[in-house]
Parts: sequence; structure tokens; C-alpha cells
Amino acid sequence: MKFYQLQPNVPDDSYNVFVRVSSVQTVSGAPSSITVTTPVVDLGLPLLVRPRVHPSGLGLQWRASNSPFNPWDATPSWSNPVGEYRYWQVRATTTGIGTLIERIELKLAVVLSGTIYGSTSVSATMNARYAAWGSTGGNTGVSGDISVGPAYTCEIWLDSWTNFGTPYDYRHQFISNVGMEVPLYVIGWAYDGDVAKSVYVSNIDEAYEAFGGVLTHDIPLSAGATSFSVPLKISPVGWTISVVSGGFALRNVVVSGNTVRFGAVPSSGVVRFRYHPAPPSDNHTAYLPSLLRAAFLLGCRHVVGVRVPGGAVASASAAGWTVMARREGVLYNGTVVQFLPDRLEVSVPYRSKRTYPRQSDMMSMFSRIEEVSVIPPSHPSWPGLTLTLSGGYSANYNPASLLALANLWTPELPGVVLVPGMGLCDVLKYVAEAFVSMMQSARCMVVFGTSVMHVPYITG
Amino acid sequence: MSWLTQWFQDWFGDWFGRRHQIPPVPYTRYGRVFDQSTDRLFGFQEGSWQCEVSSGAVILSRTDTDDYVRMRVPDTDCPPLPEPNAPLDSGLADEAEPNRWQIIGTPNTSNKWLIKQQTDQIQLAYTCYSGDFVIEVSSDYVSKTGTCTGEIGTMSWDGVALMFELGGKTYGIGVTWSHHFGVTEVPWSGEQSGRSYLLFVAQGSGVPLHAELIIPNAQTDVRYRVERSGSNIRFGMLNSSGSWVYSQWLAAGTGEIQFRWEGVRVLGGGIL
Repeated sequence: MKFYQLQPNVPDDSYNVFVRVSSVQTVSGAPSSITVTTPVVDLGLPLLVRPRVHPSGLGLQWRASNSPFNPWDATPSWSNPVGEYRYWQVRATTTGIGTLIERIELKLAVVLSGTIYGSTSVSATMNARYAAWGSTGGNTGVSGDISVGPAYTCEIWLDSWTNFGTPYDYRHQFISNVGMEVPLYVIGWAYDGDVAKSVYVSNIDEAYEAFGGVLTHDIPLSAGATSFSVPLKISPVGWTISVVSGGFALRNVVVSGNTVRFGAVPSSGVVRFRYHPAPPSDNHTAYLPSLLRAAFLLGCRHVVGVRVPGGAVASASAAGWTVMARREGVLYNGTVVQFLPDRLEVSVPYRSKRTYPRQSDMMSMFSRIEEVSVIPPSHPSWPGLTLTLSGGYSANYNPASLLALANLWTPELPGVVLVPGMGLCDVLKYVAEAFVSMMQSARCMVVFGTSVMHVPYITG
Repeated sequence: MSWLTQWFQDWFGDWFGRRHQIPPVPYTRYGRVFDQSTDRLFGFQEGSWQCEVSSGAVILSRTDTDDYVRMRVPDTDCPPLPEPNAPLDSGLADEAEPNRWQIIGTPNTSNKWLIKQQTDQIQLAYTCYSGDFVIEVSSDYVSKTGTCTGEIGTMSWDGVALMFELGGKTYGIGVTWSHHFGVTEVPWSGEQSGRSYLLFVAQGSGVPLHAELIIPNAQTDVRYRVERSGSNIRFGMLNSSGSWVYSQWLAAGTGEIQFRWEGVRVLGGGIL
């Protein structure tokens, strides 16, 4: 054996050899395959998903469940299930030494006539329409990535909203561009009203009544009373009060939060308090009564309000009977339903008590109750119950409730669907795709993102 | 769940084979970020949220919004470096892998990799091979500049070697230009100098090293190999007859290896 000295570089030696390296090859010892596994993904709702991997020739496996599981759990099995599940996990595999795993996507699949389709071409169509409307003031756009399905990129457009005086002129313009009168479907958040249903309203008052934009309470007062409270925060410029009975006048009325204060009343009586509830601060960008009012002020004539679902109805159960408010929201918490021998009484807080005479056909009688649904036990006999409802709340206005809406509701007529307060860049991909699907199937145009956020309180 | 229960599960769950529940993620695209609210890179980590890759895989970044997963192998056809994302997302190795190789100096990679002994180095950005392997390199001496001096009776080998560290030693094999100063009866071609293969083992830093095998008169477009079996490695070189000539097995070590090409000079201290 000979010994040598290694000097990687000799600074004072000008000798410099040039060597070309042409290739490196693993003859043996490379992994037989490699795998990348996503975390467990929560879609928020059970949804039909078509996992995708890019490049498309790679191995792809997935598993899904409606119960959460850990990434390392043995179950559910990697059986590539097809169905609506909330929790998904995907893994991609390659055996090719020269193949890269570029991307994994959980894509919402659209079910049409029992066949699963992707929505690649739809995104391209949507992009074209957005591009055509760019000058009218939407603030987001999309573009399709045709090779691997709809991959959205955002192109920010300047919003034309400048001030309260002309808050929605662009919406005027873009309806004119349609060239025909079509319904304007306004999606939003509300304290009251049917969810995931089209509610046609012909004027501002109807809109308020339908979605809790104005509330009227008859408040009994005792002698000496100096205040009362209502369930929701009162819009500072949106209330009136009048004396129904008692023969007195209220003095020095001050409204703060959800409380009304005044000088002590000399005798008992009833006052009628009518007010616009202020929208919750985190929901005002999509407060439906405000949006509908704005639409009418802009001259829109065919206006449809659509309340997002995902909240809960107030309810109560006893002795096999269940009573549920017909609408989601806090307004029905505290509702008292009393089964009396000859009648059923429903007392929604701050509203007049409603009485429904007992009938031999109980189901027919229950179906006519306006405020609540009554679900009797299997072999019901008229009970002697008093139930107080609780647990009601309105859904948050967010991608999850929008997605639920897109799955539950379809516009009845071609028109314009306004998704306010949220840019397309802000919503989840599967939400955008759900609306794109809606756009295609219902022949509607969907506009994401408005400047309503600049007008938080226009309820007065 | 009480805080005590949570604490117990967090700290002792693994001991008892029961790990605490990881909340699911809301992200639906991995490997490319178009939308921060829904997309994550394969290499993302937020608390306990991350993608898992198998042991033979590595996640490499392409841009701030794009990464990919590849096998932990050094295989390459020596593309131009660094390749800035073209063609993006082809799914093919050697295309748009801008961070796979770490470059020192100014190697000319427009046509394979032309590495200058004095200044250049190209190193793989990750380690490879947890077990046995055989890799093969195609390489060639191209040219030289400057003058090479040496004392009469000494030898030198200047070139570029595939080098790696293993078990506290530096190993290398490469293509060199050899000099035998003052000796015309060199073991090849009757000249004082010529091309040759060289392999060497360096133990520690700046201390004498020993070469195990030199094959003179290397052909153009030469090929050499590194092979590991268990904890032993050996080097192979293709001779002018087209046969593989191997060194003896060297006790080296186990574990993953990070390869690099680097200029070397090996000085011989005696007369052949």
C-alpha cells in the first residue's frame, strides 16, 4: 500500500484540471417506492371528493370517514371510498426513480345524473366571465389550470366603491350589462328567516320582516319601571317606541346596547318597541337586511334574499315530545310551548302569545302552527306539558356556511347570485367550485366580493 | 376532558401506545400554494400538522409556493444548473429542481457538468441510501490549464472526484491527470503524465491519506462505481478492456451519504 497526501486545492499552484460529469445512475439500492401522505383533512361537511395527484400517473390511495381519525390510525382502510365524507386522507406513491410527486389535491366532485364529473372546464368558463366583468368592479377573479383541474389564482381588481353616497353603483352597471331583467339573489346572514331558500321580497319592509331586519316587541311595564332589555343589540339610529296602554308618556329615553332606559313610569302599561337590530360586528359585511335594502335603493326590482344555513333551531323535548322552532336563531330561545287541555299556546319572547285550539287531528293542527314544529311520540296522546326552547343560533357567515348553502339551494331562475363580503380568493376551493357548479346548472352568474364591508350599519 | 387527562395523554400517550388526537387540517391542496387559506406545501409544518414522507423520500423546495417529493437518490443526467422552474411541474427528475444541487464556484453546466478542479464543487442537497447500494458515474477528463510542478521522484494526481464522508473518513473516486515527475517509465504510455482513475481515503483533516487503487490510462467517457454492502464499501472502475476492476472492501460504516463532486490533488510521496 502506498501512502499519499491529499490536498483538495493548492492555492499557489496554477494547475487546473477540467473534468466533465455526464451522468449518475443508481445500479441498485434505490427505494422500491416512495410515498407522501397528507394530514387528515376536515372539509367541515360530508362531501364527495375526488382526490387527485400530479403527475397523473402516480399511485393514489385515500381513505375517508365521518369520524375524525389520526394520520397514523390503522382505520379507516385505504380503500379509495366514493361517497360523502367529512374527513379525508390521501397518499401518493411513485416507483419511478425519475418521477417527482408534484401535487396532491382533494377536489370536490360534482354529481350530475349519478355520474361523477370534475369541474375543470367549468373553472375556465368562470374565468372568462369574470374577465369580461372586470371593469364592473368585482374584486377577485379566477383562472383555470387546465392540466390538473381548477387551480385558482387571484387577480385583484380595484373596487369601484368609494363612499357611502355611491356604494353600489358598480352593481347597477353590471346588471345593466346583462341586458335583461333577472333576479338578484342576495346571499347573507340574518337573525331570522328561512335558511337556504329563496325569499322573494318586493320592498325594503318585506325584506326586514322576512329576515329579522326589524323587530317589534310589546313590553309590559310595571309602575316605577325605568328600563327594559331586548334580545339583540339595537341599531343606534333604528328604533321607535310608543305607548300601547297605560296612559303615560315615556321621558328621557336612552338606548344603549340592548337596553332602553327612561324616566320612571307612573303606572303599569305596555310599550311597543320597534327596532333594527345591529348586525354582529363579525357578520356585518354580509348582513342580509342591509344588503337587501341597498339593492332596493339602487333600483333593483327582482330581489331575492337567501339566508345561509348551518345554525341551529331552538328546541326542547320531554316525554317523547319534541318542539323545535321553525327558524334558526337566538330569537326563538326562551319560547314557551304549553299543552293545555283545550289548546296549545306558543309564547315567543317579546311577542304576543299565540293560541291554537286543540283538534282531533293533532298532526293537522300541528302543521298550522306558525312558530314551531311539534314532533309527537309514536303513539301520542295529548300531553300536559310545558316546554321552553333553547339552543338556537344563526350560522356564521363563512366558507362552511356558504358551501352548505351551495349544496342545499339552487336559484329557481337564471339571474345574478351575489356572494357578498368575501372575495373569491377568500373562500375555500370547494366552495368556489360548488358555486361554479351552481352557475353552470342554474344558468346563473355568481359574483363574489362586494364593498358592503364599507357600509356596516345601513339598517336605519 | 380535564387538564390532567389532557396532560397525561400528551406526555404519556406514546408510552402506552396511545397517541393523542391530532385535529384535522382544513387544507385541500399540497405541493403548490395558490391560496394561503387552503393550500400548503408538502414541507409545511404547523404544530403537529405536516405531510409524512416515506424514509426513501425527500421534500425539496422549488419556490416559496411550490415544492415536490422525490426519491433520495443522486441519479441525474447532469442538467443545466440551477434550473429555475422550467418546465414547471413536469413531474420529471432533472427538470425544475433548482434546489437539488448546491453549487460552489462557477461550473459550466450548459452541456453536462464541467467542473474546474481549483474552484468548483457540486453537492447533492440531501443524503442518500440507508442500506446497500451501487451507483455508477459517467465522467471524463476534458482539459487542463497552467503548469504542474513537483519534485523529482514524486507523483501527483489532479482531477475531480465523487467524494463523501462516512464513518469519520473522506472517500473519493474520480478522474485525474497524473504526473510522475522525472520518471519516464511510468506505468502507462511511456509518458510522464496521462489520465487515470484515482480513488482515495482520507482519514481526518490535513493528515496523510492513502490511495487504494489507481488504474492508469483511463479511457474517454469513463465510468466508475461506488458500492456498499453492509458497512463495507468498495470502488469499481471500468478498465480499457471494458471490465470492471474493483478495490478491496474497506470497512467504512453505515448510514446515509451526501455526495459531492470536488476538485482534488493527491500527492505521492515516494518513487514508484
